[in-house]
Amino acid sequence: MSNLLTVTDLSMAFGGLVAVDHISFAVKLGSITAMIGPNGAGKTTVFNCVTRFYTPTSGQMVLTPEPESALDLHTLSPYKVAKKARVLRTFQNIRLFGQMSVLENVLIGQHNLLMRASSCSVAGLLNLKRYRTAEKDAMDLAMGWLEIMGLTEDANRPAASLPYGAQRRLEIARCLAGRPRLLCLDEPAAGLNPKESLDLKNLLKTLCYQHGITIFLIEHDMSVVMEISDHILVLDYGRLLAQGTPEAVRTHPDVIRAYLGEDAA
Amino acid sequence: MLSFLPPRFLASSYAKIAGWTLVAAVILFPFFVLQAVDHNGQLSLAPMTYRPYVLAVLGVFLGLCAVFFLPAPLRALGQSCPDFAVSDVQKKGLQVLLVVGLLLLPLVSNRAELDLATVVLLSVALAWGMTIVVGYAGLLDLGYIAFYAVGAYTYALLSTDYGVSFWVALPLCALLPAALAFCVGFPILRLRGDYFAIVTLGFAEIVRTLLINAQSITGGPNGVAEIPRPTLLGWGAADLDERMMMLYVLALAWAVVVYFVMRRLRVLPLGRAWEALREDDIAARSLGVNVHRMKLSAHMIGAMIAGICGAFFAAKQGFVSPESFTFLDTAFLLAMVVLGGMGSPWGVALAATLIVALPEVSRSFADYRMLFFGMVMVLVMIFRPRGFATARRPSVVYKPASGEKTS
Repeated sequence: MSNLLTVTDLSMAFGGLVAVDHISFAVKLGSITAMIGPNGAGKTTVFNCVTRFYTPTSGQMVLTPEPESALDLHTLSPYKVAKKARVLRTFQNIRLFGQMSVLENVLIGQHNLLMRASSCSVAGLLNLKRYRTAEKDAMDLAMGWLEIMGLTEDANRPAASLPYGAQRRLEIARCLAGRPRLLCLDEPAAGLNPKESLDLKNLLKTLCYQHGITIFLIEHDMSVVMEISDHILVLDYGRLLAQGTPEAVRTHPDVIRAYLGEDAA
Repeated sequence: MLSFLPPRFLASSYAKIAGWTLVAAVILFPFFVLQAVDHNGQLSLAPMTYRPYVLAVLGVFLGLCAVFFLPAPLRALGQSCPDFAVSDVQKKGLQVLLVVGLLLLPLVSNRAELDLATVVLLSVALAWGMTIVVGYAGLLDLGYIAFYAVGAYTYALLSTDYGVSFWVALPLCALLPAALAFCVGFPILRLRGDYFAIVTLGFAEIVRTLLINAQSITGGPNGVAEIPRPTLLGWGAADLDERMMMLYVLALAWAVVVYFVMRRLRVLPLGRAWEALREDDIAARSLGVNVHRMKLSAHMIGAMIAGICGAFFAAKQGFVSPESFTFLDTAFLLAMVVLGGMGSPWGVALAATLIVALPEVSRSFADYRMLFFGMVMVLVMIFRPRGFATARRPSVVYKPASGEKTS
């Protein structure tokens, strides 16, 4: 498997506080990579750097969707990371468009495609056939993902009125509508009950192995992480403590020390 | 600070009423009393006119009294009053009835009524334009009136100084405000909510001050008079009645155009992106929405609509002066948008009609406009904090049975 995302020597400092300290890692195409670590270890900061919400202090981030084409994420502005590189993310504290309906939320995920189809609203204002077809296709795609997420019934409800677990799923569906090359999930299992957590595991496996979407996630729920990940990165105090397969990480002395204390190691 | 007052008073409704009235009095003071005007070529404070100010504060006071001393069952009634939700078929019927009624209006009304109807229609169109900026995109533009002013002056100056005809000037009256909106919006739309509001507020004052001071071009505080009236393929030139009729029809046509454009934009990707960035611009950006460009487009489209409204205004009045474009006018516009329910065209139209027409209908009432206004604002914010029409209709609806969609 080739590397989809290659991060080399990434650092992010906020003034004197070094949140991420010279990290290098790779996310393989078509795999599930998890990032774990105690609170404040810098996991979300890594996400924010990769999606360009932050500009890293130093380091390279290259996306290689096909062997010949490489995109330097550093040179892209934040919205272009989603538009051109198609690196899409969810948020730790869910960010939905609360007043808008579930379906509208998913359509926003296809914003750029629809904007082009509506010729920046000209074709849309005239309601040309070209735009109507594109809109129909976008609706079908959106409803397809909503069905997989079990949200078909709720399509016309305001997103804010959904129960918590459903809101998490909607946020993922919204990203999926943007045809992600790399899907970054920030604590997708946070706040889910055991049943929902189990469903999430199956969902992520389906997305990765059936739909071929590369997934990069931050998670605290070890049952989720250990079961589905192909590769795990462990962060502590902004440094990469260890990385490898779930088994290798579980038995790594530094990881045990970080999580369970000096004596346990 | 207030500890010298008895605690029983401080905990009572009286203290709340007094406190909020005081807050309103302080906030409203600069807007009503301190008005900068041109005084023989120099800016100075206008002669103090306390009457509208006192009435507005009194209105807030009365509104607060009503809220605090209204019996509980009455208050509950106010909160539970239904949304103006009508079915699609009813809505179509109502729309057709409304337009037919508006078309028949000139046949039954006299000159003054027709004039008022024209003003109302232009205000509704202007408020709809502002709805795009404030209601859809969530940009609190406190300088919206500036684009209206630029549109009005563009036509006024082009026609009086260069003899450009109305229909030739009209596109310019749209393009110039849009260009201005671009220049102003480009740097400041990166700012967050409140800062944007403050900068636009300042921008509107700059435009107004410029209009007052650039005397050689704009005629200063005297404004521009004797603006040629437009004709529509030769219609409207014969006499005053015909001209009034034509202006009314033009205003109606323009309002209908604005209505359809705003309705259509809302269900397009552009409109959905506006609403998305109003809800959460960080999430919108993470999904590939070019937030800055979307904001700019809302700002510019709003400015274009305002510009054309301004051109119609100048053409109707035959006279423009900086007096017509004060902050108070923006405040009234904002009140229409907020009272109507952010983003609801019919709610906004209703609010605009009430705010513009009520003081005109009864002249004696006009004196108490501010009183009424303060009172209504308080009552609406308490009972219907989201405006008259609150139910948001999704831009697309999934219909499970056929799997088809409607817009």
